[in-house]
Amino acid sequence: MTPSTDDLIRQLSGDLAPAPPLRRPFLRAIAWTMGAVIYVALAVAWMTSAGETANRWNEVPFTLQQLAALATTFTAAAAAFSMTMPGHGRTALLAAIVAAGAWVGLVLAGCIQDWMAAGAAGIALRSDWPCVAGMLLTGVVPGLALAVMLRRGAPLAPRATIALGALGVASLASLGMCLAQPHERDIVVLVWHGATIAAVSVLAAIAGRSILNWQRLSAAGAT
Amino acid sequence: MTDDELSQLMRAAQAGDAVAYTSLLEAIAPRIRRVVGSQRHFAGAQEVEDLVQDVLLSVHAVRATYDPSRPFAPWLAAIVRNRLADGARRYARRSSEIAVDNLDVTFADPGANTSEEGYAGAAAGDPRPAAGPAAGGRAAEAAGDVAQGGGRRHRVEHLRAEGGHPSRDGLAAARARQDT
Repeated sequence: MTPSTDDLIRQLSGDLAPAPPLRRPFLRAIAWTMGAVIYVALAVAWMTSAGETANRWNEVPFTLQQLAALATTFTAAAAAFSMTMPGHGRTALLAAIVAAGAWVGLVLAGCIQDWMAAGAAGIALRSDWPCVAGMLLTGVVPGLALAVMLRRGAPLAPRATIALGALGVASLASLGMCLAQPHERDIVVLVWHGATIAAVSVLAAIAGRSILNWQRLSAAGAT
Repeated sequence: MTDDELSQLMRAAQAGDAVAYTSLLEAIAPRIRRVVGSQRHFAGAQEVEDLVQDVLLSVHAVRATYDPSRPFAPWLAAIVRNRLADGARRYARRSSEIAVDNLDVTFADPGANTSEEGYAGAAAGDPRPAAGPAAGGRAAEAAGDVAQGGGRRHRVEHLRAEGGHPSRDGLAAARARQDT
């Protein structure tokens, strides 16, 4: 028989454990991004020699692209955290959209420059499976860490939340691969990295309700 | 009770104060009931109470997501809105299951349930009717169940357990009979 609401209130109050408020989404995003950047930096250092990456930092378009990727990582994580906090606005989501748009725009601009400099050869596409595999492997640990952190929040929009988290992780992994395996042409980044990020985000959105749901929280809260 | 008072109670509850938490839940339960009642005119008292309890359980589960520096009402409203939307989705799913009611109309008719079909399969040692594949067989079995006045929920669960779809399989069986 279903207990009355008064019984439920007594039960919930009786089993009450302290639940310190979660830190603000912005702060949690900073904490996660810092940890993830350190992890990816170590992974890149392990995968490549320092000379290759240092040379590319002198190229302004390359540097701007990586900064935009990092901004996408941070804002997407902040938006994902914000979506798990009831009553929070959508400012972080807007910031993530702007950052991702700027990143895509910079890579597109790089493609146009390659085309103007080298003609059709500048946008000739070659396969880049090693980058795809590298992105997926690099993203596993930061992705799991982010999922654990997101699961402490409320599953208000599970699919969008997990998709944003995946965007954050994948954009950081893309940044790592751009440093570990510098590409001569930006078209490779646009198509191969872009397709990987899109695929990961869509798959994450599909799995969103399995990762974040009220049933799991209610079960955890009842125990 | 004002929003500030509710916010203070929640802050105390987050620190583990059970008395404050009881007061908070008792204060918000009628508010949630009002919102649920106004959003679900068609729902019965028990269904409204189920939704209220659902919201209270959700509030309890995510109480750590409340930021004491922000107002309490928008936090609660977001949870209520979300749980009501979930409740509506569950209601829609339950409503779609009721489509099995059509089986009564479609298959209880004696013309649609000839005894020859049932005996032909049984005589050959094959549980499926001669005209249909496995899915049609399950539907025919369910249709027979309907004709004999079996429980509807039992039939739906039986079909689901076998991987069938009540209304879809029922239609397949009906078409098979028309073809034969």
